[in-house]
Amino acid sequence: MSALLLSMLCNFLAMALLALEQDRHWRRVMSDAPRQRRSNRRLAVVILLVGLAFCVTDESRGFAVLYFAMGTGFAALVVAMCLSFCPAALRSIAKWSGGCRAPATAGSALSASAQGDLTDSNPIGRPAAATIPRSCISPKSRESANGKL
Amino acid sequence: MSGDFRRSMTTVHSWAGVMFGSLLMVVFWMGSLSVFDREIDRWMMSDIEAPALNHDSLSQNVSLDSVLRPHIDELLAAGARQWGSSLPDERTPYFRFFYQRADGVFVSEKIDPHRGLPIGNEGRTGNETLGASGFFFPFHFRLNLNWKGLGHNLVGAAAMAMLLLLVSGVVVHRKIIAEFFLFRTDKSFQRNNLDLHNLSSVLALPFHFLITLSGLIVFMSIYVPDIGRLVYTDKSDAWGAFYAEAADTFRRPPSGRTGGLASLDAMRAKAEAHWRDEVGFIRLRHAGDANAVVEMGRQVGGELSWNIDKVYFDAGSGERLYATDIKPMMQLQRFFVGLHFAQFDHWPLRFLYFGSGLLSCVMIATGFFFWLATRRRRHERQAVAGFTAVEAVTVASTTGLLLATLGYLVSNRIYALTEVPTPRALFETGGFYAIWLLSLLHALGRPLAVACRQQLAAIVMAGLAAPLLHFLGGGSASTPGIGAEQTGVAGVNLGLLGIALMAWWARGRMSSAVRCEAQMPGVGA
Repeated sequence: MSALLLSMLCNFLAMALLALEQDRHWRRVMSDAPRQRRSNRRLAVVILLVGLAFCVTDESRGFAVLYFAMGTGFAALVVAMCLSFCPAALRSIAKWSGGCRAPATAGSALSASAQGDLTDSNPIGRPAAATIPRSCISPKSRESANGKL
Repeated sequence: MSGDFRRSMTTVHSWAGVMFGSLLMVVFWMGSLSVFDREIDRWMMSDIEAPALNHDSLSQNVSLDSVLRPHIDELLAAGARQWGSSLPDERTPYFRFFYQRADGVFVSEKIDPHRGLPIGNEGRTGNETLGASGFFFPFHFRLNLNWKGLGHNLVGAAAMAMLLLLVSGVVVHRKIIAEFFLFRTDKSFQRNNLDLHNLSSVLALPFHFLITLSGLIVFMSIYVPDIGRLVYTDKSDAWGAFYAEAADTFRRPPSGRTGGLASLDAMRAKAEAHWRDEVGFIRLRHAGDANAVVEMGRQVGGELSWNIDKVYFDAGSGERLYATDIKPMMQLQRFFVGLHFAQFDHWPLRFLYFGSGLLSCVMIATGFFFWLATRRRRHERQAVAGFTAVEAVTVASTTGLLLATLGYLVSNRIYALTEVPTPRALFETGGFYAIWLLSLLHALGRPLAVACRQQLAAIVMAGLAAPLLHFLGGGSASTPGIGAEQTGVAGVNLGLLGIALMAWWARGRMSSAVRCEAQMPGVGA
């Protein structure tokens, strides 16, 4: 069972690294515009393989592969929820993977928000983001826009 | 990829989703519940004097000759043609027994492994509940519609539509990698819906695909009935011939002479020595005849594949007649069956199955709500007939289905606490269908957002009421067993509270979306 837990942790770490490869998620976690940094994709793949190895040592091949495949999806879901509701939870992984960064300035966070989240594709024809009433945007988003994160 | 192809796939995705979304929601919701059907069974049987799970009630410690034999002898004296039973295990601490009466009718019972007596009918007529394994599980694959295989075929059509939806969805979704982890809670409700739809679709895509495909493979003889006839042209029972060959089954005709029954324990010991694994199922064919055959099946919890390994014994002498040698084609089919049923002894995997099933439900529901919201204004302007009905059906198949499920469980508890004269199974299923119908009528009379919020409020109340009624009905006191049994029942209570919590959160989110809609049309719900 402990090997399965370790496998799940590996999956989570690998998925977090892959998520932080995307500038949008990096900004959300670190409140900072991404700079040049090394790619962690290979490291994430290696960690995923280590997770698979943990599964195989603890289970028969059939259960191990199924658990690993489903566990990877679950870990990705947890990472996505962390990014949405508690991005600070991934900050230590971001720091470890990309080195320490300077805290965000009000301008950089606001510009990041404006460049990234608020200008995404708009398939449903909603009004421009700037005209959305403040009450319809969550407090977390408002804090981000004010550079308080 | 050409724009035309993507547009055509968008049309396919929309229409397949609208036509089969409700059906798929029912199938996936019931399937998710079926992962923990035995635990829900125990929760629903809490007021019945059920056997406690202890060391003696596990199958390897139960003597078939001393516990089952007296009951079997009674049935044989009454003219039963055949009987069978799965043996007790940690999740089901009783024999799940069935027999065929002399008039051909099949009867199922739960047998106490300590006393050898049927449980559930003591002190009150019609007290036996269908539970989850007798209601949710068959609902999952045949909608409890048995007329001319209608339920099976509807679910099969929905499964085909699901495969189509998955393929077309992958084509339609332009940014699978870029939006792999994306769920923006700080955007409009409509954008939340789409993000959640994409997230739940992509992260569990292998699950969605495999569970749907394996579901079709499980019922291959129903969905492609002519394949057997094409291969076995000279056989009147083509599928019977196929299974006899591929599953290597053993049959012999009755002799017409009277025969006895040797020691079942001795036969079980021989079968377990043959496999070096436990027996999970036992069956007697041609009961009372000199050619009667005892069939012992290997337990299925230890591996991913759902094995159908069997050893056959002569019932009169107890001598081994035959041991199956499953053909590779059938082994492949059994692998998919095992993958679909998820009845293995692997708790983490079972939780992952349950979670993935719920993600499928989220995917279907959010897809439905997104489609409705993007078309509401246009359809209202154009006065498209039937749009209100589609909205009502959507509400009934999402929040209404949850409410009906909780209604089924609450009915079970109300029955336990009161003196309702109707049979328990009828009372519970009546509660389920009545609440489901009411949810549809409720949704027909008001806007979608209002109906959803009101039904979510009802879900919160029902989700809190069910564990409370379980507690009041002596739920915790009547389950003295320790370990998996109590953990399972406590898990069901926690799950119910979790449903109430999620419904409360979703209601709050919808309320704020409606406020936004009032302030700025097009942003909110």
